[in-house]
Amino acid sequence: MRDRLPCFDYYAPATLAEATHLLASKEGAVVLQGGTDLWVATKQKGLRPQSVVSLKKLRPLLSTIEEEDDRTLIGASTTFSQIERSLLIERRFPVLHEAVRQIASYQIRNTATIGGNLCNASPAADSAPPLLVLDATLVIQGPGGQRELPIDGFFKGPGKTALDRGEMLTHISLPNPPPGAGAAFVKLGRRISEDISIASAAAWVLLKGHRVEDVKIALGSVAPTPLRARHAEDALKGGTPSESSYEEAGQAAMQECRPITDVRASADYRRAMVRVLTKNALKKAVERATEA
Amino acid sequence: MLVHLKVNGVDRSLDVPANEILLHTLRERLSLTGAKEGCSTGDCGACTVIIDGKAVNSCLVLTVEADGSEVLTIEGLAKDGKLHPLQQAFIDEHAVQCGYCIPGVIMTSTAYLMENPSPTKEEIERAIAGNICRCGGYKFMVDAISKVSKLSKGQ
Amino acid sequence: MMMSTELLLQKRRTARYVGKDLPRQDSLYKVLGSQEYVDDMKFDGLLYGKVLRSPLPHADVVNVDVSDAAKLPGVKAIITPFNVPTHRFTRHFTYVPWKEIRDRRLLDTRVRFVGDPVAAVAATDPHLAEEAISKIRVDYRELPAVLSADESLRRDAPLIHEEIEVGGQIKKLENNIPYSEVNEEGNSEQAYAESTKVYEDTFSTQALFNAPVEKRSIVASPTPDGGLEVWCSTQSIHGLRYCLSQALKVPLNKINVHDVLIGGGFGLKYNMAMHEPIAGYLALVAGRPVKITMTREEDFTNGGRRPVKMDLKVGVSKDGTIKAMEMDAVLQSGAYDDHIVGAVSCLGGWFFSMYRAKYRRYSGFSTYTNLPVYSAMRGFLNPQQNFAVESLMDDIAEDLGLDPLEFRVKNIPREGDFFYGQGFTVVTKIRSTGLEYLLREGAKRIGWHDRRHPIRSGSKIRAIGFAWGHHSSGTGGEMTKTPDRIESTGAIVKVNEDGTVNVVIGMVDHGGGTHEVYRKICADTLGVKLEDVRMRLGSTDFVPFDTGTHACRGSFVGGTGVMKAAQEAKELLLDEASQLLEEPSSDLDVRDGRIYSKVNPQKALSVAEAVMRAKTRGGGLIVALSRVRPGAAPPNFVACFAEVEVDRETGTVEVKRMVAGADVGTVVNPKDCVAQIHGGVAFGLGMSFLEETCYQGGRIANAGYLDYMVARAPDMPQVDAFFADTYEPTGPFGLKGIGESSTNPVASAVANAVSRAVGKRMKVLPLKPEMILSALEK
Repeated sequence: MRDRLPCFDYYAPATLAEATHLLASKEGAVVLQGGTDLWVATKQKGLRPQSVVSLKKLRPLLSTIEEEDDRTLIGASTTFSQIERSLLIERRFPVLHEAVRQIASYQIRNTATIGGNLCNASPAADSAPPLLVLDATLVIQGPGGQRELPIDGFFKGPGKTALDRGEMLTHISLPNPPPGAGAAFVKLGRRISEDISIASAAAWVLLKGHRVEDVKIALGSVAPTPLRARHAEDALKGGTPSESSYEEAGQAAMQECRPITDVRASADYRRAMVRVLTKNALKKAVERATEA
Repeated sequence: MLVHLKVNGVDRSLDVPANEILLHTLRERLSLTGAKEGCSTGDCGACTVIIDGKAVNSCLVLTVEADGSEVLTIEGLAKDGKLHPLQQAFIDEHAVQCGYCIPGVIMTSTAYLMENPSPTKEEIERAIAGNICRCGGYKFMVDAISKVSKLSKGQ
Repeated sequence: MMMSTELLLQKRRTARYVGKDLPRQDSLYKVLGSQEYVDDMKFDGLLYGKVLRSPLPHADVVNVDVSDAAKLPGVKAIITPFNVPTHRFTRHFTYVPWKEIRDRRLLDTRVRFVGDPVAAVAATDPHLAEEAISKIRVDYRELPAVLSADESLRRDAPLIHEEIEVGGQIKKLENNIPYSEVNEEGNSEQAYAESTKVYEDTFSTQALFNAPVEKRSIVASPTPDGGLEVWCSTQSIHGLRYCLSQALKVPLNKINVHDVLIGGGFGLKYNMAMHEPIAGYLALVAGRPVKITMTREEDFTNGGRRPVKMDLKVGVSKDGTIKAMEMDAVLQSGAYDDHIVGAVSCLGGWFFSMYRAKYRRYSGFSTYTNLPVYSAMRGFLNPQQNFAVESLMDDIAEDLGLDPLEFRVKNIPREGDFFYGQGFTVVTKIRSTGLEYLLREGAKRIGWHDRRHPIRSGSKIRAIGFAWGHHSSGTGGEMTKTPDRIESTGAIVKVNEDGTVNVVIGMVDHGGGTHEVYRKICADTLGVKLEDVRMRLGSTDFVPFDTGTHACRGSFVGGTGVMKAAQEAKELLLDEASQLLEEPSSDLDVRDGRIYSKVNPQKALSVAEAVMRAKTRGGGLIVALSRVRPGAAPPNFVACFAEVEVDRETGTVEVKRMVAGADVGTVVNPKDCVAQIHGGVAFGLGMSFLEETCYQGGRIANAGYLDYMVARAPDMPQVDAFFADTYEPTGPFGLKGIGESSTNPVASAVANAVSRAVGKRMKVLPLKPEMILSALEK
């Protein structure tokens, strides 16, 4: 561990084009958003960024939450505190709101950004399961221009994303929820107060009458990446929500996850909790869908 | 790199390397040693300062990133020899033991009360959950912050 | 001269300051942010030191190549095991010389744990120091490592130390056990003959870290005459001076250690950490002041609570009288000595002091392992044995069909019994105890009598559990065997010619408010106004000897030192006043800075006038110096009641409510004392669930505050704290201590509550969700 950072080249581009150019051309280039992950990795895990491309000057452009026709666009530089305070997000995407307000601490939420959280690609990224069940699309800018990528294809492994060299995340696009939809996020930490998740689950259901017309389930901290639990979804899709169908979904989710043992929890415990959290997330999501 | 920032109301121009952390700039260049380095990784909150109205862990902020910003540290709270209400409340409620976590907790709660002037006790506890106190068990701190929030309600 | 109880109680009743909540003098600087701790202090010409530490748990250091590091301009000193003195020294503060274990060298050619220092540099700025360290190349020859107590006890286990020095003599070791102790009292046959049933079980507790928020830091500055000025985040300035003197071979009178405020200690800083003599040595070599501040990760290797495995055996008669108590304990101590002798002894002493029993036996030993060294930590083996004993006691009560509370009350120690504070060699007769009151009142407050059984509601189970604990107030007392405890303090009270007072003592204030206790005791003893008493921080050249702040001695022992000096100063004051007033001094008293005759109250003068007389007629001010070895280390008691809620789905536990009653004798600073109770609860919660130092291949895997989890504000339950009203005749103004007893029974109470909730005895700390889930399954 080191308390002082090693030397690096620092850039603060004023335009997106400049930023992507730097990311494409500079050796060992990394993006600096809030810095809460980057500097911890540098101090504790031996990371040696050679070129740091700060998005500070692009913050006004990239930290807005905007409504657009049938979708909501969240800028990648939006901090978790900004998301937590957004009434629009709280009303329209409560699953994201409740995940974000449980991340880390008040100070970290004031600094850390949703874009940074996603691109850091920790298996425990708490913003990921909600975005997975909300079918988010990521808006990516590169030297060649802009592209959109469904979030489901974004995470490639612990710390690895689908971004090519020179690319950066600019926005997260969330389709507006249809009537009859409800979603919820539940997480298990090691203690009551804000803590890194040892397992989490997000569920999204679309009810038509009493039937589950559509369902999405995502799990966090129990696989190399946050993941959609598709078999668990199948267990519920088209049927009526009930204790036994939640249990079936929970069992299926347990089979789909691939947790590890680390200082925080054992693989067995994480797997067992996937069942509990999946059921609880589904129950809550159905309650919200029924109210909607 | 040349950095311009306002610290406790005073304009500062500093030439700092890009890899210098704001906590060290404050402590070593500006002799503002109120903010402490308890863990260096944003887990203990002892380094909390307020940047542009937000409480942040200064151990994870590059000084160059604070260019153009307003920084408030514990040393900037008291005005003309008069203690900030939170400082007074912490004394009165015996919330101060070894004192090491205190500047961080006071800055966190100062910022929090600006955003949420009438918090519940649970909200206060969550707000300072990023600040470790190993001495006093947090109770009297929460009381102090709650007391101040009730006092300012009348204003 | 002992005053009668009536007079003592009257003295307490009429005290102006003892017992009142008043703003603390030190709080102002702390809220302003202007209070300096070591790392905040500025020094001219300061160099920054950094230690290179072993990445391996056990290895020989074959070669250290510093050539690249030495080339960096700004690197002013580099030390390796090959260019420093090789004598061994102790890091421990309170050994008597004949028991002193010396097993450390400044830099050793063998490293014995991940983090063991290998080399060090001093450079002109911290970045440079880190860079220089990264350029040092070390050739290690790796040795087989011993990473647990079990491994270290195997016959073929490698020896971690082939020889150590004990009491100045070389002692060759044939195994990894540097110290063991056995103690027995009473008649075993008779005791078991009277027992209807014998209960046996095994309990174990985890490795923990003290986790103060302030990292250890030292500045050592060389003086022209070959000495050192030292500022250090330490719990004992005289202790550090002694150890530095041994390590650096600098005479004691040339090492001046300054008393500074520290950001928490909790036992971690009650030793000399290895980077401290390293900083001193670098300073002497470089001829400039050197600062070394730990990184958070490094600080984890400086100490912690040692894990203990305890086999318990208790014989009880049918009516619930405890007849026999036996403990066999294995302590795991890490790679070097730090309090090993004290740890083994104290575990047994605390155990003996739990319950009255005709027969008691303790057998304990400590092993060396290739793990980072454990130090003292708040409670010092008391929480560990408390967990074992109080857990088994609950089981015994339930098995006998007795109310666990009544079972305790039947067997707890009483006035007149002997208390083994700090091991078997130091004994105190119990002269005050409010323990029964604490148990009964606490039970009432938590609602124990209506809620003996768990309540299930949905997926939650609620239950109440309790435990009581004790701790000694200091380490004084009557020596029963060869003296082996250093326990002493002293204070200087100086009364000035304007009536104000200066007080100094060598005891370091951790922040609990001990300096406020001293000011109040001084003011109330002398009879002056509290605002006229000023306490300053001194240094070893200028203050009387004090053992250091540990063992709950801050208020009890330090307070005695201040009180005695204030008493002497008062006598000198009254002598002067009696001359001026022409009244016998036995008729005089002092209040609010006024000396008056109790017989003729109109005959009065100010303290200032009396001192001015002393100055002009006698040629000096009123100064008194005390030198105190307390004759007792009376137990303070805490009873803790916890209500927990277990989640049957996740195995997680929330502590909803806690009642904690304390018998600390006279409560000097009521609110600060309550804060100590809260802080003790937070520590206890950590020991129950949250905290555990984890190792991977000998390396601490969670050396940071993300994964080493201490209690945060939302984790705290509602805490109802209350005090017993007792008066300890051996304590200044009747007080005892609180710092450690406040944590000792907390984890036990929580574990008892959880065990009751899940219907199975929890025998291992920390209580993990998996253990709870598996207990619920059965």
